[in-house]
Amino acid sequence: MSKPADLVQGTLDLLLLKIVALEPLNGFAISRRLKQVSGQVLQVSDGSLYPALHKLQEAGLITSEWMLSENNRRAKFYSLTRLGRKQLETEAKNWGRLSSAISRVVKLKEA
Amino acid sequence: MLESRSIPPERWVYTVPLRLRALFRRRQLDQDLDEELQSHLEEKTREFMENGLSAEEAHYAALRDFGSLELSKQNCRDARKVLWVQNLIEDLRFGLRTLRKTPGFTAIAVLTLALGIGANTVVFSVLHAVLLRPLPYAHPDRLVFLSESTADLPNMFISLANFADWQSMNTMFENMGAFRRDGATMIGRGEPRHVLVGEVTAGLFPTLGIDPVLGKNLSAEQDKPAAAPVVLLSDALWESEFARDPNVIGKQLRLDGTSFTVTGVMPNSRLPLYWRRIDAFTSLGRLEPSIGGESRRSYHFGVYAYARLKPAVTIQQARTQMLNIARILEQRHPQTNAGQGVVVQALREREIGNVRRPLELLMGSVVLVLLIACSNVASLLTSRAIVRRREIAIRGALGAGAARLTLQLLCETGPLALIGGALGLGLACSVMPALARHVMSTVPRAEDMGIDGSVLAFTVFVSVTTGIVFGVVPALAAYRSNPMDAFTEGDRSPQVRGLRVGLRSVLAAAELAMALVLLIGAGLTIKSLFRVLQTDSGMRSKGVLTGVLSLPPTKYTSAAQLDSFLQRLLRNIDALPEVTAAGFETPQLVGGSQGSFRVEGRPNLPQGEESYAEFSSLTPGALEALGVRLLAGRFFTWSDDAAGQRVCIIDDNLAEQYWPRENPIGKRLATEVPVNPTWWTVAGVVHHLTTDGADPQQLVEIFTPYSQDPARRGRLIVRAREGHMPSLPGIKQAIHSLDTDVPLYGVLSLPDMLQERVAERRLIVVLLCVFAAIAVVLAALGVYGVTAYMVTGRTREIGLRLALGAKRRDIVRLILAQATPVIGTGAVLGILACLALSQSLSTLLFQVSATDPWTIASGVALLIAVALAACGIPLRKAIAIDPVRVLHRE
Repeated sequence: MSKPADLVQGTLDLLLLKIVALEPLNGFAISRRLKQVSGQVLQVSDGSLYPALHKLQEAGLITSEWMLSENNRRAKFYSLTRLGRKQLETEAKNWGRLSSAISRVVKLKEA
Repeated sequence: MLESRSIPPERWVYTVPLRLRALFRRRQLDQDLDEELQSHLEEKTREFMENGLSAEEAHYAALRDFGSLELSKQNCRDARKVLWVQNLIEDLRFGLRTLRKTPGFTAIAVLTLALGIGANTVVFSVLHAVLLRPLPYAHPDRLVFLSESTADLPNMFISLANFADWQSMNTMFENMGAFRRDGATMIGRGEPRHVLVGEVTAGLFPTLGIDPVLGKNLSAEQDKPAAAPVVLLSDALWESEFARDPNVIGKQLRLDGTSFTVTGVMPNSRLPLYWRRIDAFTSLGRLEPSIGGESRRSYHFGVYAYARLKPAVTIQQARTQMLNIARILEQRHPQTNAGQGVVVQALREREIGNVRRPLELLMGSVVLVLLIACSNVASLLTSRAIVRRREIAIRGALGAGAARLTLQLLCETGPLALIGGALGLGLACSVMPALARHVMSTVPRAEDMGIDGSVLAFTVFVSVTTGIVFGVVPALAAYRSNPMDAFTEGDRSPQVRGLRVGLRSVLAAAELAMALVLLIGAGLTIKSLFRVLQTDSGMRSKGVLTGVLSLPPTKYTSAAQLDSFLQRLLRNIDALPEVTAAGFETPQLVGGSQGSFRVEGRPNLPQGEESYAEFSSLTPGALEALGVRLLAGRFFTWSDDAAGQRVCIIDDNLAEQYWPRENPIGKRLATEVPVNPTWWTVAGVVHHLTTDGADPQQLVEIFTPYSQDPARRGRLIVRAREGHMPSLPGIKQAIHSLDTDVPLYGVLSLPDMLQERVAERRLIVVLLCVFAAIAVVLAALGVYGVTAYMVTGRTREIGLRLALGAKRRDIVRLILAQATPVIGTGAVLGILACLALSQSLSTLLFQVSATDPWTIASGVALLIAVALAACGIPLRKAIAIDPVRVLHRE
């Protein structure tokens, strides 16, 4: 993962679900949080963040609401739905399985 | 991998409202989106400013960081997944706008389709009600109808003695039941009334799988000889006599002077057709000893049977076994059973077999009408599509894919077809009640016809298919042709002209061919109907009234009592001022009873190959009242009584057959040949009587004097003098002055009675004529379209020719030279199609060949005349072209 934008297909959804699961956030805050918690490793361009959020919303996984941001501006805040929470659980589990499987393969010692 | 999510079912709860919101609150969503992205940009700008950039620099940095704002918005909108719906709505709007802008085209196309689809809906609804719906019994495919047969009579009533043997010998049927239709005089509320009684064996209703709605079925005990009389009521009788009393079980009902105990009520709707009008059901087994008397086994009158095949038994297996049983019975009872077979017929075939052919013919005809309608619309659409080639080519060049283009074209033809379909459905709904009234009396099961789910589905299917096939195909043909032409030559390119005229000519020729098929079909059935109506019924029907008379068996027990009652009654009726002749006839006017006979001096024919005749017994006055022509000898008189010599009157067919060059008077013939022959001396010869000219059997007729073979029930026939009708109150008065317990029912004038027999044939003729007329009009429209188009397109050329000295005559020739091949091809194709179809039509015709040259010739002549007339208007336009103006415009 040399380039931060090169997220594995589908992992962006997982990351977004996880971030809004912690607390309702607006788009700007989500992108900032993503950068912060991944230690600047994972990054998503502003241009693709919103389509991804809208896709999740149209799939019924997250929902949005207009609220005031920390700077007292009107902003759209996203939060997880019940369906989204279930989805997050399964995807997190899947991810766990997948990543440990991959790391087992990668750690194989060359003979 | 992560994408492959399991979709929980409750997901719909979340997504459906979202889709709806996306569809209906699009503007608000778009506004939200703008605002959201705007707020993001502002936050970002603020962040950059906090990092020390100027307001302007920060703004641009934020924008740069974001990437393409529009692309992102588009992707967000795509996430709503309703883009295709929005496109569709836009295309539909566009399609409807196009249709609105060409109201003439739209009106013609919609009306044409409405006619085609409406006619199809009507006929399909009949077809569906009659042929397609399953019979209303459990496992109806396992039900069969049983009758007996001889070489001459393919569908004879069964003998109850044989039926009893079948029941004990067969292994293929789960259940069997025999039945007979009878009538009785009911004394209940009000005047004595004639009711129809179904006499059934205990096995009958279990065979059909019908249970009483109230009470119990006949038990085996109640179906034994001399059992206490019990009755099952029909729904109608339960209503009229007992006001739907739920405690009706155990009450009494008087039929023909006997008191019956009510044991149950049958559900009306599920009874076989044959019995829908039956009022009450009684036991047949109880009467069995009295049916046929000593000659029970040879007595075939009125009884048929139903049986239910065991699961997994085929009708063929049952047929084989029943024929074997018939062979065994033939060996056991050579006197009575020789040459007799058993007919096992699927119940479905029995109930609707007769109407299948005519209905299929009608369905085929309306499909042709629809095809013609579609060709017309396709022809119109082709012209439009080619006009729009430029538009389509531009859209293609601008990047619209074939799928998107097709969808868009569908959005124009689809509404056309759907509006046409809706109008057609309305048309069908408005015609249906009138048709149902006509059809009900002649076509079984048709009373249930109507627009139900299946019919609706059919109509929608037809409309949609029409829209797709006849809308998109010609349009795509235009789309596929090289788009370069569209840009360079435009409308005037000769290639385009050729394609347009060519395709329309082919369609017009096809329409003419199909219209010709219908025209000839209608012509043939009309001719058949005329032949049927022309056949000499042997009667002069005007001024004759008939009605059924039923004498209660408890009062009239002996032949002498019956005879004397009728003698007195007929004398009373004869005394009425307007009456010129009156008589009584039994069992039923022509075709009542069939039996074998032999002629004296001829060798006995082997069993099963005897000659059969139709028998009826008549009082003096009956033949006179019917207006039958006496060819030789005399009519009956009251002195032909029980004590007198047994005499008979025969029809000319019989006389011709057996005594071609002799005087038949005084010759003798015998009836009831196998068991105890009775000899009759021929006293008179009359013209053959027929009530249905197309009756295929045409048995010879033997009439015997009523006094020598009396019966309780028969038809009263009364003739009034020229220009009058017998008075019904007068006749009723004459009856009631003798006995108030004798009902007269089924009153019909003789002409009406004869008309009723051709009602079905007449209905087919009327419908076919309507379809043929629609077809011809539509085909004429097609020819008109092609010719008019041709004339418009060649205006310049015609003007030029006229200017160069061509005569009007030459112009007419020029146009006709183009139209003639179309008409000629249509006519030839139509004739060929008729010849190919003649086989399937011939069964419906009477004394007319399906390839009748006169009918075909007149059909062709009519078609050509109409087609040429359709060319007339464009021709007039062509002649009226002013060369000066045309050249001026150039």
